[in-house]
Amino acid sequence: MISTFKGLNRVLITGSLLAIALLYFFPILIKSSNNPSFYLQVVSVAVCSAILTISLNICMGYGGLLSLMHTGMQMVGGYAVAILAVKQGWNGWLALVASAVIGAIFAILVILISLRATYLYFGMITLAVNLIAMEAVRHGGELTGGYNGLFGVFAPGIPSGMMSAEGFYRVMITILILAYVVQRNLIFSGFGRNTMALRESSETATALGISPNMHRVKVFSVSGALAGLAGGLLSIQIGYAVADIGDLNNGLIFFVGLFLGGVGTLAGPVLGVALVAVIDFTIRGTGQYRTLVLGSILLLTMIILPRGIVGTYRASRYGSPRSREVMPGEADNYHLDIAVKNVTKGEVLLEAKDVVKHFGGVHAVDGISVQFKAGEVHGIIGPNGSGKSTLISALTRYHELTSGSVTLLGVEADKKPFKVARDGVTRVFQIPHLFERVSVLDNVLTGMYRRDKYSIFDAIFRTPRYLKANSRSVAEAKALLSLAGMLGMEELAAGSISHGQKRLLEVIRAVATEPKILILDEPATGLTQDEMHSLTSLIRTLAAGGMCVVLIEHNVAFLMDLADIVTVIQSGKVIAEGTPQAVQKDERVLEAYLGNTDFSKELA
Amino acid sequence: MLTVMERCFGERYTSTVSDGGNVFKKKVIIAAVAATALFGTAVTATAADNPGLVPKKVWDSKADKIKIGLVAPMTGIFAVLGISQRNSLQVVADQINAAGGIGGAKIELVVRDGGLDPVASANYAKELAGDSSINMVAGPSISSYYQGAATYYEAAKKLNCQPAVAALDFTDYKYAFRSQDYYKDTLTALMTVLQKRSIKKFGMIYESGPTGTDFDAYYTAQATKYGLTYLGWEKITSTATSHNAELQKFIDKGAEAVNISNNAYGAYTAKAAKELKYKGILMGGSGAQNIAFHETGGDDFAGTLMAAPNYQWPIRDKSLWQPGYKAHTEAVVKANGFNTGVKSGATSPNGTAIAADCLYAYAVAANKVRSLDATKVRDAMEKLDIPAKMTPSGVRIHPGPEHNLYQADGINVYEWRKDAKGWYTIEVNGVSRQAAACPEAGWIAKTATGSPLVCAKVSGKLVYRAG
Amino acid sequence: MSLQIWIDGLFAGSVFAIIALSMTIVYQPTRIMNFAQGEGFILGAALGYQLVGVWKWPLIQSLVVLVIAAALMGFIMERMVMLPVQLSGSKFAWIIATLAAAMIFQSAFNIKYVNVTFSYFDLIEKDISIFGAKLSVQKLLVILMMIIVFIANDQFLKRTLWGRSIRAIAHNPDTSTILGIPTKPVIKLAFITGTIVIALVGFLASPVIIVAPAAGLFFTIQGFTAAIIGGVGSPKGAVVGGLMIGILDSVVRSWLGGTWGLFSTFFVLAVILILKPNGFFGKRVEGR
Repeated sequence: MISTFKGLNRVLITGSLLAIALLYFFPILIKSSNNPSFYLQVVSVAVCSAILTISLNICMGYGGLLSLMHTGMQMVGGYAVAILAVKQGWNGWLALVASAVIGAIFAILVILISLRATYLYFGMITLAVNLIAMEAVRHGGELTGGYNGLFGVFAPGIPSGMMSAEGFYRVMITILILAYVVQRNLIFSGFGRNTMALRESSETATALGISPNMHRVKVFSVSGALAGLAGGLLSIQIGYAVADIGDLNNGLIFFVGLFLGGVGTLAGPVLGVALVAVIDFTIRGTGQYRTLVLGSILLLTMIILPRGIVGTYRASRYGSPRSREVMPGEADNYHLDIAVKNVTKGEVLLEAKDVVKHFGGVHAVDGISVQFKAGEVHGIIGPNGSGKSTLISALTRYHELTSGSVTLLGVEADKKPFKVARDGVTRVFQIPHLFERVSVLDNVLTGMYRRDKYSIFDAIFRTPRYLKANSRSVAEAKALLSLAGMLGMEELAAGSISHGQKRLLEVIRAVATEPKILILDEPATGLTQDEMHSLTSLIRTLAAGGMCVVLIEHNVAFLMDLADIVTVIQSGKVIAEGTPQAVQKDERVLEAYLGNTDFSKELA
Repeated sequence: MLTVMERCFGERYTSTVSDGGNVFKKKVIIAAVAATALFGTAVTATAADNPGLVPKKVWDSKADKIKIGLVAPMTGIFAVLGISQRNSLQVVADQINAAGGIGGAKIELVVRDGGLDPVASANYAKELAGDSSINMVAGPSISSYYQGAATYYEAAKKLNCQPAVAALDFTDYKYAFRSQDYYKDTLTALMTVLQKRSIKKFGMIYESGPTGTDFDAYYTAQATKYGLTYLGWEKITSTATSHNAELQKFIDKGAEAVNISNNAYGAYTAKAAKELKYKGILMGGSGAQNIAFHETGGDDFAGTLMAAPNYQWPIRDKSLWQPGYKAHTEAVVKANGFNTGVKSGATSPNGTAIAADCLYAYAVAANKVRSLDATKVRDAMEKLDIPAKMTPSGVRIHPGPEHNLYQADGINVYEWRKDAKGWYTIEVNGVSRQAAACPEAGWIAKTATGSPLVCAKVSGKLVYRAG
Repeated sequence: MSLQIWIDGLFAGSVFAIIALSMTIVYQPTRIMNFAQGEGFILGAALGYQLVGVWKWPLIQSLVVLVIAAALMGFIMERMVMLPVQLSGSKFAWIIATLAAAMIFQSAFNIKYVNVTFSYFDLIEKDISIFGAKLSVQKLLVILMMIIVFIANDQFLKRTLWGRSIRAIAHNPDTSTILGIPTKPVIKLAFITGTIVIALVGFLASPVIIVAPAAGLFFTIQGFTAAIIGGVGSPKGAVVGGLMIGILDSVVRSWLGGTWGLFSTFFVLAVILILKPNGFFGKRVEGR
């Protein structure tokens, strides 16, 4: 099986190299055809579309940001080149660079004003911006040429004979390959992992210390730069810039290409656009039936290949990664210093005083004070609806406090949840929040994001700094996986492993953030005996290293066995606190839970 | 996407379907024309061409096919534009093919749907420009896209003919011809009529876009020459579901006439005129033959002025139609039918004869030089002078160095009327068409006041009599 | 500014409001903003033209056929959209599926009616005078329809079992399935009723506003804008948003000139979303 997989991979790589070679030599191949300039134009325009679709993929496929303004970004890039190169007389190459920069600036401006909007609403803002941008261009007077647009945009040097159409075509192919590499390097780096983390769950990403807003700005600006560049190239290729290029209707090819190829896959956009270009080329003689044919093909493909070509391949027997065999003794290669730095055992890490959280008339948390200390396992119990989860959300700033205070290492805790996470408080949610479509290894690596001290540019260009940081992170991630007995499963999609493994993986990912306080919300639910054992030993190891592990648990036996101190909550108030033994005997606890048979049973 | 919507009702090409017509003409000869002198576009025609209604096989080209390309919106909001162009081109192609083709070569249409997509339009224009087997191209039919494509055509020395590009100066292009009324001629004709009717103030309701911009600039510069005060341009867009507000502004300013859009937008202005009981005159270009205007304007649409090349369709007595126009229009209706307004009963054929003129003129020119070489045919086309009675549009084709198939004398101003039998037009040309001489019995001219004169043989002498 | 401008805006706003309401009906159980929804408007206009205009059928008979045809279209549309959406794992699949459906319907209308603008005579040729401003009965019918659809939808959701099911599914589709609420039939019903509603307004409004066969997407976007301003999924929001863009457009065009109408609509949309990211009455929307 493994050899088939490798064999197929080799075929794919050889195929890609052949395709690149074919693209480079395409102008020579068509030289003797009946219409070389047309074929060159068709492929050139498809190349621009592919670059734009890569940009759309970064934004939508990986970033989960619904953008309906990519055609508008393309238009802006086109006008940037037209205005700078034709009207201002800039060097064409410089104008192309400017188109990317202006595309990025445009994107940044849009996302900055719409950070609060989520999903569909963000999509609608982009739609509105797209229309406003088109209207603005149409009313731009001399500068934009109004409704008629700007004409006479040529490839740098073409009129003076410095560069032939074929030469510019090869430049475009090179830019496409670069765009692909940028996409790939970004996605495989910490930047890409954070992007996907945000796509899968903004909440979880926040818990890992990722700033959703800052990261969205970065993703969208990278996407904007690529889209602007694609637009710049397009206006040179067709020779003019006109507002209609921004029309979303004319951007269908990007969406279609993206979905046909596979949204959120690396090769998907390029393959999809290539396919759409071929289809469009083939049906160009159908005249008034063209959109009918195109629409029907699109719908059929959605039904036959709902995940697109690459997505379907990845989900298939051949394309999906499988677990590898672990060499005997391999685990010994990975060492990990789990000890929490700069903390002394017993030191108060987090202190909550009189925390109150009301939802309207509901007093979910009604004046709780609690201390989390280094090196202890701190259990929190209480019946359903007693306010445990709300308390945690309040402490980690997911909820604003109604009153009370939270101090972290003696300082007032920051108001933003991702800052709290960065300051060393990592929580694992009650419902599994894994990044399901991402590999097991990448899930852990996402947790290490704050250790990666490289920039976007290091990632794109794979600088030594990036390579060094990356190999260190991978080794550490493997060490963590080994600790949970999950070595060998690195490449599996997180969605494909068992429930218990998912819970463990989530804990490991949280540990990867190097927290001082690790908050686990019912981690033992649904675990097998073996997995429970792994979890117990993991928690003990962590606490021994100086970490404070906060456990919210229903499984009292599990909790009482592990915890150093237990806090009992009822109706938003602490009714008892102490060692497990003390709490089990506490009058108030027994009294309070007398009527609650389940809980009494658990306590007994 | 939005733009599409934006164009749903309106848009940015000028007149789509234009043919032309004259109620009273039997055989038309346009003799001396004031407007011609005005713009200095007079082309001294040498001997008029006489190709007949369908150019016959007169030489052997040794080619088996002649391909005519068409890039136009065949789908989407503007599909009607591309489809009526294709219909008319196909009719002419079929007729010529039946008569032996051009030099024995059969004509084949190559149709590409450019939609409202500048990139697709550019691709297809490049395809048709680069394909050496294509002899002539029509389109892209959207002015701004054409401007981009023109570079390809010029570079490839590809003959092209534009039935829907009203603006732009074609003297810039060596291989391009325009088979549409030039907007300056159209507006001049309208202003001349206004002047004759002693109208003082008029305004324009038109969608924002290149056409509106050109019109506005021309009216602003020229209105005073006709003793008119131009009250300005009320811009409209797609979100408007009513033009009452725009028209009301002009009513308040005392506008006695309003220029309406050539596109479906004009229908809203017609509706506003009905709703506001506007007493002034609506006027438009060939777009005013759109039956949607009659539908929305109702009986109040009567009195609307329409400046267009020959459009004889509303004339009930078909024997009055130009023979070429009649043959073409009947063939179009036979092949593609005609539209009927359910409310108004107004009708229009499913074709656009001005597109047909492109192919007709090409065939005549190619036959004349007995060559398919683009440059030779181009030179021949420049020198064409085909009388109005023969051409599919019913308009005299004499392009000259400006490459406009029709000159100012090809523009007629019609007034829509309605009686018990339905809608019809009368000609109200402001431009005097008084013939200097009466050349042949049956020829028509006009008095200075617009009444028709028929050339008749009276006791051996040709004289004009009231028609 | 004259009263007429406001009345014209009220009419246009009512059209957009009904379109937005029909989108809300589809959105509630599916969380899909249907790009093909506007095609239902075209269906209504086309049938009005064909049945009442060309074939001169009586009104009642035409309406019956219209409702049946719209139900059929809703049924087909549901399959065209939901099948790919259910098969695909992507949260963006609905965009492509609904756009593809829109393309197919639009082409079909355009091929059949390429040179027709759907406009037939007013059902009642009469004007009502309100303080000197005029309102035709046809326009009044549309305004009344908006009110009726809003109330009927509201009562349906609150009082009937199906309505409560829709609300439950809107709230949480997974739990609803567990509770035994028939999600799939409810979604089918939503597409069918949504299409009937929008087809009816297309039928009623087409004598007043000129409808081109390929204009479906225009009405879709207007409906989107209205729904988003009001808050996606909220019927109240759909009405408020629709009336707002209708009146805004009319007033701004009269005040500043035609080109500012569209501009102001989208400008206001952007500003509202920046200030109130979930619209006026909307709830926070996370991805599917």
